Amino acid sequence: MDKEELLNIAEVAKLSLTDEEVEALIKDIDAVLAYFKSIDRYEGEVLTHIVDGNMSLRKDKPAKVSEEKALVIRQNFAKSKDNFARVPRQGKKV
Amino acid sequence: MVVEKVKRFLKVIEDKNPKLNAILHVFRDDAIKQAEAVEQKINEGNAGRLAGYVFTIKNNIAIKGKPLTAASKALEHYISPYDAAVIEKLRKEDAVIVGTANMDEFATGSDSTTSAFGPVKNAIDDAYVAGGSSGGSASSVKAGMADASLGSDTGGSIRCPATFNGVVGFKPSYGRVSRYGLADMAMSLDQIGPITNTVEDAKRIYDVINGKDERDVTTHEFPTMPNKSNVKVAVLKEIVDGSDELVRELFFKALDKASVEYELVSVPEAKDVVAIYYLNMFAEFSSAMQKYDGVRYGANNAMDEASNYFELAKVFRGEHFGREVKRRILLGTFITMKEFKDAWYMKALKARAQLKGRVAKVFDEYDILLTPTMPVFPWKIGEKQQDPVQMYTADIATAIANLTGIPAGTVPFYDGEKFPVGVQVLSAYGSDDAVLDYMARLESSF
Repeated sequence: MDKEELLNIAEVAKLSLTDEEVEALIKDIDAVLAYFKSIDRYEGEVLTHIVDGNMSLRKDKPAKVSEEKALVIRQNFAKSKDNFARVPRQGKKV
Repeated sequence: MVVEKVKRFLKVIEDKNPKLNAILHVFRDDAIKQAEAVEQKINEGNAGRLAGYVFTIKNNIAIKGKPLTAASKALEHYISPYDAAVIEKLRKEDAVIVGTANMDEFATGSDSTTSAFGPVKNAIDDAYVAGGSSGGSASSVKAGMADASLGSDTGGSIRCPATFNGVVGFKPSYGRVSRYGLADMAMSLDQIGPITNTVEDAKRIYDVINGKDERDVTTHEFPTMPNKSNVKVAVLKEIVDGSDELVRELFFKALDKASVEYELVSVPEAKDVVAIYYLNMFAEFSSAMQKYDGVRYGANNAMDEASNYFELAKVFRGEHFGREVKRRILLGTFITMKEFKDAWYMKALKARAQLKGRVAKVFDEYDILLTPTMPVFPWKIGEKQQDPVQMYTADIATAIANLTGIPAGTVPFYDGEKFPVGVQVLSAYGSDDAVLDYMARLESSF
């Protein structure tokens, strides 16, 4: 793996890395992937579920949250305004 | 009685924790208050099944009003708004919780040295690692800080530290115990389970914590499994061959001591367990970690400086995640990216399917499968830092159970050495009682 590839993956993974970290991680990742290459030989069906049979999914309805619980949830927001968590805008500032 | 016991445990924590670093948060006043309430119920004769039991809880399991850090700087200031399902169940049966147990950061490790709050030391000899990732759980039980602990196990994180600290550990079948309130590592591999001094304790706790929970749709009703008195036992060849010589020697000595009649069985896919496990886990882990972006889970961060959400998340994660966490996120992201998915993640899923099928066939013929729990003895603190692959190979025996969903437990066998060997007991999916029964049988012989 080269530096550019790793930085690209880090971008997708939303991870900022120092130059020192990049050097070390490239070495680690190369070593790990070399060791794991042995799975190349496997064919056949893919495993999609551990539990065979139907899982009973819950209804797609919002859960009721007690005010007591909501308070703690809100207290955990890094930044908040009224009852909302503050988040920087999604796109880049113009 | 219970209050006295709690005070005793608190004293042990005060004396030993500065060295062992097994406990992250001590619940002094809460625990004494809980103990008083339990004593009252015992006197009234309406106490629950765990009345008198005192627990430490791995700090990736949610306890209402308490820090849920997963041993990471990223969650250092996060307070859980609710109890995990297993905590609700513990409380209902009158267990007392004395503190949270230290662990590898977000469970990324097999020795509990990646914690952002310092490594956990082995309770048998503090120059050695406690195993991981539930190192604090096992070390606290062995050190006499609690009666029992709840840990989590994704590739061996209950059974490894249990073995290294010479105590009992049990990972239930996938779907037996609700993961509601567990800060997930890998959603198809994680299970919560007990770490205890005795198999009887493990069984008692398992009986309380297992059961279908609406809030975790992977839990379900299990059919009643037949109870066999005469069990046919196999030993997994590839794991024995892949273990250190002394581990092998002690393992067979243990089987001899317990007069176990067994046949050697071969599972060729077992040679690739480390690769199959880590690739599957990386993919799920990178997904699980997406939610920690510095917005919702308590953080002091450069919110005002960040120009957009992605910058914020990137900087927060870069600054608050440890090296091993980053390594696994990057690998998980890589192997699931469009260009590389077929060569890596899909192959890992195919390998997992094949392993699952082969292991199921073993249990068509045999009832119990035995292996050494760990292929090596505990290493010294700092010894395995440099080479990630070397660390990963420690999971060769334990990860099989997580990959295939089957139940697995470990019982320690001492033979005059400092550290015991762990004998791992596995059985078919859903055969949790069979595993616990066989563990008890071994324990009484050892």
